[in-house]
Order: sequence, then C-alpha cells, then structure tokens
Amino acid sequence: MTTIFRKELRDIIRWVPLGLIVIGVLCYQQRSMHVLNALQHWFCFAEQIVIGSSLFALALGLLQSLFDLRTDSRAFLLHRPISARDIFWGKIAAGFVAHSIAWGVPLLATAIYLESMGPERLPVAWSDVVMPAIFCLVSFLFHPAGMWMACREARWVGTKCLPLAVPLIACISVGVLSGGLAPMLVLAFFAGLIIAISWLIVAAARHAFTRQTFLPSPANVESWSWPNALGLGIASTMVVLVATGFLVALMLPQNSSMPTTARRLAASSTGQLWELEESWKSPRMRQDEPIHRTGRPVTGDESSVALVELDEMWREQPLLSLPDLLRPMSFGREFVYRSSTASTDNGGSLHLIERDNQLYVYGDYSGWVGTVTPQGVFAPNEIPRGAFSNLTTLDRYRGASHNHTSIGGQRLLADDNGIYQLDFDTRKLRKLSDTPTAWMAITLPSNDQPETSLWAYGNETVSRFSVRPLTEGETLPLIDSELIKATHQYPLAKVEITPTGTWPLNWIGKDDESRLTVVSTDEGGAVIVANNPDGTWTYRIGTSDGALGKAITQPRIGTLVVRDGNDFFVLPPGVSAGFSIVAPIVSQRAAQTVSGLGWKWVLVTLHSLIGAAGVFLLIRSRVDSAGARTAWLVIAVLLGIYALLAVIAIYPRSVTEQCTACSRRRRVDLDRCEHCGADWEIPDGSGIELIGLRDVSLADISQTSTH
Amino acid sequence: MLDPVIQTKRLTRYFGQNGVVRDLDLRVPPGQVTALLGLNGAGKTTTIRIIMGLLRPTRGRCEVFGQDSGQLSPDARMRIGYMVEGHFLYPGMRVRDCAKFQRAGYSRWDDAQFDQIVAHFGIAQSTYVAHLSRGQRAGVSLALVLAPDPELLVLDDPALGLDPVSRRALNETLVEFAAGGQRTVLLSSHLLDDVERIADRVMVMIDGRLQVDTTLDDFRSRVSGYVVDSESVDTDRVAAIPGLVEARQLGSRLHLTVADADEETLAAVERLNASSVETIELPFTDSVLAWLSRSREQQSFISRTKTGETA
Repeated sequence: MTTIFRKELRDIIRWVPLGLIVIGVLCYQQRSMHVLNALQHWFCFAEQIVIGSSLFALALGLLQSLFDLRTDSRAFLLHRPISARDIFWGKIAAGFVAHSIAWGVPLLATAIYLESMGPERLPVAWSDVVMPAIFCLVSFLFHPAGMWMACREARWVGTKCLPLAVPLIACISVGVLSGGLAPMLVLAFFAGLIIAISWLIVAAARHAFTRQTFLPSPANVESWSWPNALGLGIASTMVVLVATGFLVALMLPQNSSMPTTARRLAASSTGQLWELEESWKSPRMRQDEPIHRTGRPVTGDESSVALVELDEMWREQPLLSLPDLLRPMSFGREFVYRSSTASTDNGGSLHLIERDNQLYVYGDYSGWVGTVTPQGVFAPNEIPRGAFSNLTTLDRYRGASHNHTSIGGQRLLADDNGIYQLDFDTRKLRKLSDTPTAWMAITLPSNDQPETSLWAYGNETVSRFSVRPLTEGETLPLIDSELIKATHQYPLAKVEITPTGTWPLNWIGKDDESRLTVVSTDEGGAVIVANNPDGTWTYRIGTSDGALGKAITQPRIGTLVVRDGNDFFVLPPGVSAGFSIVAPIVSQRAAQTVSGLGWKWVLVTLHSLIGAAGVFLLIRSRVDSAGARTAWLVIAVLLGIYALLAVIAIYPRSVTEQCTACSRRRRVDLDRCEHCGADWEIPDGSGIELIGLRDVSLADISQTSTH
Repeated sequence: MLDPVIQTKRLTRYFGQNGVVRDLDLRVPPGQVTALLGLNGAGKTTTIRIIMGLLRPTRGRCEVFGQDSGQLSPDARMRIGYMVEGHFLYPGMRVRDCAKFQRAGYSRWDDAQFDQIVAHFGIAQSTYVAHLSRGQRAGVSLALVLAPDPELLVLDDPALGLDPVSRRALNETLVEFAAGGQRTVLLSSHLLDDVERIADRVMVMIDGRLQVDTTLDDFRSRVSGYVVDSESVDTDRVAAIPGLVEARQLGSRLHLTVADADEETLAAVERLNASSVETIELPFTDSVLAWLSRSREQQSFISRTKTGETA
C-alpha cells in the first residue's frame, strides 16, 4: 500500500498548489477588519472554506479515479500482488494527505495571523480556526464520494452523480454541531450521523472501486453492497425531496386557492398571551398583503376558547420567541459576544465580549480598551484580577410591544455571585445585589405602568427587584416615549435595586434550552414564560405582591407553517402516516392539521400507490429475489415516488435476449431463463471448427452458478 | 496429463446489448506458447481481461491456476506477468521508478534481468516514460513483466507498433522465456509471421467464438488448399464443399481453403467441373487469414455470390 500511496501522492501533489491558492484566497477574503466582523468571522470563514475544500476534495477524488478507469491504466494498476482494497486505501490516504495540505496550510497561516492580531486589535484567537478545520476534515468525504461516483456503473449522469449528495448530509451535520444549540442528545445523534455517513461513503467507494467497474450486471451477487444501496437510497430520497420542494414552491404562487397558514404566540399590550393563527396567499408574507388573522387568549385550555377575528393592529405584535442572542454560539471559540452599547466616552460603540470568564471591552476601531471582572475595570496594560462565574448580561427589553428595544447606557451584568452595573465611561463596576443570577429580564416604565422591575432567576428562584435611579430626583425615561420608539435604544441610568419578592420556580432551568422571559402587564407584574426543550411554553403570572399564578403549559405552537395540508401531501406517505400517529402525542395543533386533511388522505394514498406501481414495474426486470422485490414494494408504499429514483440508481436495467425456448425476453446474466428455466443453447457450429485433441486433462470447471 | 493453466467454461461477456464473447470454452496448456488470433473486435482483449480478473464475465466461468479469475489472490497474481495492450506505463515516471513501483509486493524480482532487457532496447534508466518511443515503452513493459520471473505470461498484442528489430528482440525473448517448457505464454497478436515463429498452439476467435484451437502442427496438417480454374466452375456448388473455410477469386483462378479435407471434400471439388484442380500447400498466414476473412462478409467470395455481385 505504501508504494501505491507514494505513487498516488506524487501524481496529485501537483494539484495541491491549486487547492492552496483557492482556499488561501478564501481565507484572505474572510479576514476580519471590525470587531463584530471578527466575532462572526469563524462562521463565515467556515462556510466559505468548506465550499472550497469540498470542491478540491471532489476534484482530487475524480483525478484519482477517472484516469484509472481507462482499461489499460486500470489493468496496469490492478494487476500486481496487492489487493484492490489496498490500492483503494493507498489512493484514499494520498488524497487525504494532499487535501489536508491544501486546507491545513492556509488555516495554519490564518491561525498565526489571528493569534498575532488578537486580542489587542480584535477579539480573535488561533482557536477560531478549529471549527473551520473540522469542516474541512469532514469535507474530505467528497473525495471518496467522487471516487464512488466515478467508478460506479450508471447510464444517466443524474444517477451517476447521486453519491455527491451523501457527504452533504455530513457537512450539514457539522453545521448543526458547530452551532452547539441543540440538546446533547441531538448533538450526539449528529455526531453519530457524521461517523455513519463517513463509513457509508468510504465503504461504498471501496466497493465501487474494487468491484463495480468491471462487473457486468446488477444481478451478480458481487455487485450488491449494502453501503452502496443505502447511500444511493438516502441520496435519491434527498434529491427527490429537494426537487419536489422546489416544484411545490414554484407552483404555489400560481394557485391562489392554497393559502399559507402559520401559528404563533404573541403578547397583547396588556401582557396577555395570545395564540394567533394567520393566513395569507403568497408563499411568503408580503408587507402589504392582507392577512386573515384569528386568535384566542392562552388559558391552558384552548378547546374552551373559540378563535376570534383580530384586527390589523395585531400585525405589529412581535413574535414571542427567544432570540438566539441568548444562546452563546461559542463552540470552539475563545471569544463569546455578549452585547454592545452605543453610549461611550469616545462616541463610538463598545462591544462586551466574554473570554475566560472575564469581560473584554472593544471599541469599534480602537481595539481592546479594557477588561471587566467582579474586581473592577482594568486597562489593557494591567493584569485583570478575578473572574465572573457564569456571566450573563441584560441587553434587550422584552416587554409586550417593545420587544426589540436594546438597553444601552449603564449595562447590567450578573453571575452566580450577584448583579452588577457597569459604567465603562468612569471605568467602574458597582455590585447591586448578591443574588445569584442565571438569567435576567426587566420591565421598564411606560404610560400604563410606572414601575421598573428587574427579574432575576437563579437557584430555582425568581427574584423581583424594584429599580430606581441612583441619583436623587432623576427618573427613568418611559419606554413608550417617541425617542425610544424611534431609536429602539433605552439609555439605562445608574440605578439601585431593592428586592420586592421571590418565588420558588423549579419548573424552568432544568435544561439549557429553557429560558426566562418577562412581559410586563398593566398590573405591574409580569408574565414569566419558559421555552421548554420539547417546544412547548410554560408561563405564570407574577404580580407585584409576590403571588405567582398556576403554571400553565401550552401545547407546541412554534412557527409551523402549514399550506392547507399540501406540504403534508408532498412528504413521503410513510412519513405522513407516521406523523399522523405521532402528532396527537407531541402537538395538539399538529393533530388538528392531520385531522383537518380530510379528503387529502386520498392523495397521500394515491401517492403511495403510484410509488408502489412504479417500483413494481421497475423491479420486474431488475431484481431477482422474491424477498428483495417484496422489500422494495414495502419501501415504495412508505416512500411513494421517492423510491423510484432509488431503484433506478441501485439496480441498473438488465440486458435481455429472446429465449429460444419460451420466446420471452430473458436476462443474459442468468444461467437459466427466469421464465421457463431453460439453459442457454449451445450455439450451432460453423462446420469448420478446428479443435485439436486436448493435450491436457479436461478438468471440469465447477458448474457452480455465479448466481 | 497436466491441468490447464487457464480454462474457461461457456464464458460470455456482453457490453450493453452486444455479446462480445459467447460461450467460449478455452484451455491453455502449461509449458506452451499459445497465440490468440482474431480480427479487431473478435473478443481477444475482452477474453484476456476476463482471464486477468479485470473484467467479470456476464455468465460462464474462467479459472487461472485453478482459481476463479475474478478472485485472483495477490499470490496468484505474483505468478502472472501481464503486458497491457498499448504498453501502458505512467508517463510521469522514470524507467527506474517504474521498476521500483512495479516490484512492490513481488517476492522475486530480478534486477539484472530488468536492466538487461532495458539495455537491450537501448533505454537509459533515467529517461522519463513520456519521452520513450512506443518500441521503447514495449521494452520497458516487457522488462517489467519478466523481472518477477512469472510462471504465466499474458501478452495483449505485445508487438503493436514495434519496429522489426524490436519485434525480433521481443520474439527471441519470448522463445527464450518459454524454452524450458516450465512457463506458459498466452499472447494475442495480429502479426501472423511472428506467431508462426514462436507459438506452439494457435487459437482463432471469430465474433466472440473460438473457431480454431489446436497445435500449430495440427493446424497446418488439417488445412488444405486447392486452386481451380474459375471460368468453368459451377459457383453454386462452391458453398457445398464440406469444410470450406474460404473461396477466394484471384484472377481467373479460385483459391479454396478447406478444413479437415477428406474424400468427400475432394469429390465436391471435382463436382465443380473445373478445367483444372491443383492442390497447394497453404502457408500458415494464409490459412489463418482464411478463417479471419470469414467474419468480414463483404470480402468473402461466398457472400458476394450470395448477394449476386459476381454471379
């Protein structure tokens, strides 16, 4: 294998500079110039790099395969006392080394560049390239996928290229992992998926390289490979699903009879939660498009409250979901963005960025201007002492109709040891409370209610604090003032806080996905909403006297978009049927969607039958075994038309000839006629054969059938 | 009685709808040089590729050294030297790199023999393959397949594009290689003169089927040639001659090639009512050409008769 590796590496190393240039240019193009750009750098960087490295891996895979598909080249390569499997691994190893050089060198240079810049100029570190490196590593799967594609037998270029869809799944899985947002179980699933896909691709490529290119027919038992069939099946389903999705998206605007319906949760101006159901005709809601909107207040017993027509005012009600800003996208990153503020002594913006449990403060273009710890504010040339423990910041107001107002001015911070207020202009950090805090929310004064309350959650307890300006006689501006409405910025002054109530709250915070948000009410209290990991919402009404209402869990609402059940029809019938069984368990709304389908179940059934009929026609001449035929019919019933491409890709059409015994078309690769069992006739002699006496023993060759 | 080195049983291979090799029963005995002859497209290279395990048969079986050719182990491959059609070598390698690359995995490798053959063709070891002539590439290919001292040598059109001197060198090498009777050679070729010089056995493939499979001496003895005066010949009776391989018009004379001629054959020739009948000794090349030309109907006298071109 070493010899093959050396030879292959020598052949392809000449292409590495091309990969270096492409990936190097992408790295250069993505270099950071601004602090916010630097924080997003790793993601954009990874996104760009993975495209470049995937294309390069694919090119290498094709280069290492296509030339060797020439009969003379292939014969010269394969006829040697080394197994074809070892030759394959030699090629893979050489491709891996060449690919690694092509992305490794630019990434190493980028890491050196980032380390030389950070943290003084920008919040960057060498570790920013870790995630892009993982992306590049996984993108190597396009190399064996390219070999798989090149070596496998396929008459149509469309099915020939199918293997390329499989590594895409692995790359998307890395994308999910890089976000680090999903629960551990989901992350573990995707990590497992990447490993499984990697094995699948390599095993299928090995089979294609060692077997498929010189096999005559799909009927030969050696042409069958589970990884090959599984990979092509997955790729076919994925491709048809995407194609069908595009077709549906293209067709929908032309059909005004199919409105789009979405359901969401919103808060009224009084803090009451409402469940909204909105319908519009275009696939994507246009700004000026009339929307039919109905809704009902959330009571926990939605069956008792009918949907009522709502006016246009509800259009402005913000969607109540928790922005991703609350979830640090920190996987593999040293610097984690916390918040920004527009109010500074030098007129620019300040950006608060967490690193090693300390808060680094950066100016827009002035670089690192200070470090905040519970011990105070330190200049860049000082060694900061102390560290936060599970730092959190309050950067947005989540009131009813002012959902997206940023809180600037004197920024509130909190950690396990208490609540702080930062005045960076004077380089001071004041501790406001010793209450351990995991999350914070604030209700700000308005024309309807004058109180300002800070809500803090920690140690399974919600604490409410009354907030007052520190300076005597000063008042906090109203949230519904014209200036704040126009700027969406609330300048928080220096404040002091006084505890006014605590509630044990052990029904949130059990999982990282649970978050606390607070909506002010006209009674001065708050609706405390927790977003549960299963997609449901739980809320309680907390009042100023310390009382807390009953916990009510709302069924999953989310943002499921249902196009009058048509999306449901597009899905594979098995998925639709499975969904209809699971839906009542997971979501009452989804169950209603399913039960409301009515006659469209006929379409789903028809889809299933069309798929089964198509597959039946295809497998008649392509699949031998009765068991395999039955399995494919079951798959076709479940997948509908999605199974057709899979059958075509996995089983190429057989070559047939007319049987001299039964006159039906028989497959040439079978020893006996599949219809009448007749053997092949020995061809008639020409009468001039000159066959000499065999001067060797006529050892009978085994009559064992190849099938 | 020795087991054949290569044997096939009803070997069939299709490319798409075309059956390139059909029901081929072939046995290559050990210790002999066997020549596989046929026109382009007759199925020689396909057969050789199946024998070498580089192509699977559509149906039928093929065994080499008693192993299924599709499952040849590295040890079995070590016993086989295979020269690919067109003398393929990696153009980016130097000659000495080719040897270094090729020797990997072989338990035996005769550097001296490799150097000797390469030198015989006048090739410097530092030369890049891309700079070699076709003949020189053939020399390097030959050196590469002979250096491991294989028991079986399979050569697919080894003399393709070689100059006469190189051809002679190749022939001498093959004769020397097979001289002890311990090694077997299977070669396909279009060069009938060369085959006559070096082969012990001849096989002729026509349209994917084996028409001739015998020793060179047996082949010579069983093929007869007659020349008859064609002016008075009853052409309708020509096709009825038993064992007629080819009837070829040359001027006013008709040259007949007949396989396994017997008294019935002679009687049929007599019945042509030719003014003169002469028995001739056919050269080996003409005998083989008689078979080969049958698959090209437009050149066949019988076909032209059928289509009325000369009737």
